[in-house]
Amino acid sequence: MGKFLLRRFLYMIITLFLVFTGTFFALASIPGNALTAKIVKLPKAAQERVIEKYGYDKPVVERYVVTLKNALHGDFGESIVKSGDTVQKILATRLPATIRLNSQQIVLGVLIGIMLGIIAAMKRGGPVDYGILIFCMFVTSVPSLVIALVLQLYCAGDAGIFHLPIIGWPKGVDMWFGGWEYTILPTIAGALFYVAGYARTTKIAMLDSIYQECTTTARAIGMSESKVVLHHVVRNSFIPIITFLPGTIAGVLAGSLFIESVFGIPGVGSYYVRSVTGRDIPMILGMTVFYSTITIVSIFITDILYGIVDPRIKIINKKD
Amino acid sequence: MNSKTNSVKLPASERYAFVDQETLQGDEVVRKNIGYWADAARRFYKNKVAMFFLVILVVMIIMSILGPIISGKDYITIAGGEKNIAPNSKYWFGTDSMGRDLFARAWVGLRASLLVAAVASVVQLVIGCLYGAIMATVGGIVDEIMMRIVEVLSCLPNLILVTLLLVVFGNGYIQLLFALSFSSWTGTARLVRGQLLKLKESEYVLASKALGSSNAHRIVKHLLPNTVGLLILEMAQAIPSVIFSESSLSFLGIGLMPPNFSLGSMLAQGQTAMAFYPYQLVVPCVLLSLLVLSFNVIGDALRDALDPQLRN
Repeated sequence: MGKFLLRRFLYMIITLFLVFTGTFFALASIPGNALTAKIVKLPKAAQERVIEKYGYDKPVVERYVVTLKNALHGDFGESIVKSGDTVQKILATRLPATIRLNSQQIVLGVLIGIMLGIIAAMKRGGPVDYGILIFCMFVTSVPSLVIALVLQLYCAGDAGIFHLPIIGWPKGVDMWFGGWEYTILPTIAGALFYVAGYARTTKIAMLDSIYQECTTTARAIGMSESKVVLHHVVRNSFIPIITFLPGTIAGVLAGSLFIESVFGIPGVGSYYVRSVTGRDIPMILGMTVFYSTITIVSIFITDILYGIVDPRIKIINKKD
Repeated sequence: MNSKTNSVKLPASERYAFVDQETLQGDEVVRKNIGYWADAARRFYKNKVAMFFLVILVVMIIMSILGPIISGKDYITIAGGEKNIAPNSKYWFGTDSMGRDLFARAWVGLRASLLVAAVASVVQLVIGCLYGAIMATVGGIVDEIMMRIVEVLSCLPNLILVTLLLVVFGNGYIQLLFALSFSSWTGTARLVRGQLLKLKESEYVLASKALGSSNAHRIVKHLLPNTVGLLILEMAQAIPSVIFSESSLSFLGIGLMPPNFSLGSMLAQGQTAMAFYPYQLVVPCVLLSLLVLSFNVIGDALRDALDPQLRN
């Protein structure tokens, strides 16, 4: 296990390094960026000074070395579009909104998914099972984007059913535990996509453990049905579900790109979209590294979890 | 149950009777020998829900080609005084904020979404197959290096990577297809590699080798037919996910740029007019959902149909 983890960890570092290098040179090859748009109206001397300030007068390789050295100390440079913005500052101000949105989405999605999975497994073959199947098919097929827009159209605003706010996000004291009316719709929009996956996994895991010997034994010694389900079936089914979680975190984070844009949430995702459309090179670089780190780390954790849950995985990985 | 009670009560001579050779042959049930594909097709056609959505999908494809011709209005002509008109007998889906016919625009947008999804998933399959096949057949150090590349690529956050590539290469069909296919093939490559390695080790391939078959014969007769089913399923999974990515990117204004547009860009337009003209949002929403739903249902039915364990 230790050797396996060390190898995965090394890959993680190499991948991150490659992401950084690839992103840097790809961005360096863009003909126009935020800087060229910013200085186009300035006089020649001022133009040169601004270019010098951001270091764009130096050759690409030298810039790469400098940027890499700074990045190792956690400094990705200053935003070109808005002076004074750094990746750290953006993360500090905008990450809370994204974290709250994403954790609410995960909690809601996973809970509903597991519950539906349990119900479907208990009532397998009946109309309830079939209904859940159709529901899952429906929520995986309707893009989160469409769900978000439809919720906005019919549930929010003066014309909506619930008069919820269309856009916005709680600030200040309400940042973590308040202003729920703002968070309901984006949470539902992002959560529904994950319901189906968790429902299916739970159902399969439950059906597996329902027919296991320990469950039969528990029934045979006269345990009540609810106790059997809770203590044996559900508990044994959690293992495969837990290995799913890190992947969901990465997915939800990527999904917040457009959910945040739709609902005007001041999170990291909407900022990334804005820096991409504004060609704000240092911020795009920093954000890409940030997103990649989260994804790579969650894949790493998934691997570890798989290794713990299923010892066979290691052997397969060695063969690869 | 019945045989059990019988076996207790009756002596052996009464339980068994001699069987005449001729009557035995007469009773033999001859089952028509149907191949794997014929059987899979039969099972797919029996799935009524899947057939229903297949019809819907075909209708949508036909409409994406013929739609603008049917309504007789093209998707760029701006009718000056007729902006934001609700659906009526002249404009079946209404007009948008610039006075363009939404009926024609919806089908042309659907065409773009379909086109991108189809090409991107075919590219994904072709690259994935070739890459996976090379890994499986060459093996050794080449396999090792190629596998490392796959591992690095599949660790990247997909949507972020696509966004980045679009920033670097610009917005157009070719660039979008390139960006969407950049890392999507890694899963297919792994799948194909695994399947080929499994098949190469299997007994019937070994038997065929022992009988002196050529390499080409084994590939055509054994390796290909046993991989096609997997690839069909992979395609059925790839198409909805490409439609998802494409529409969200176009919605954010990073995917297709005007004059090109897809259902995603129509969603963005619809959102700005949502409060006053909801139909402008509903039309692309319904089409997009219906499109993905059809692909998902058909994909599910294919999975059931192609599963050899369910064969009967």
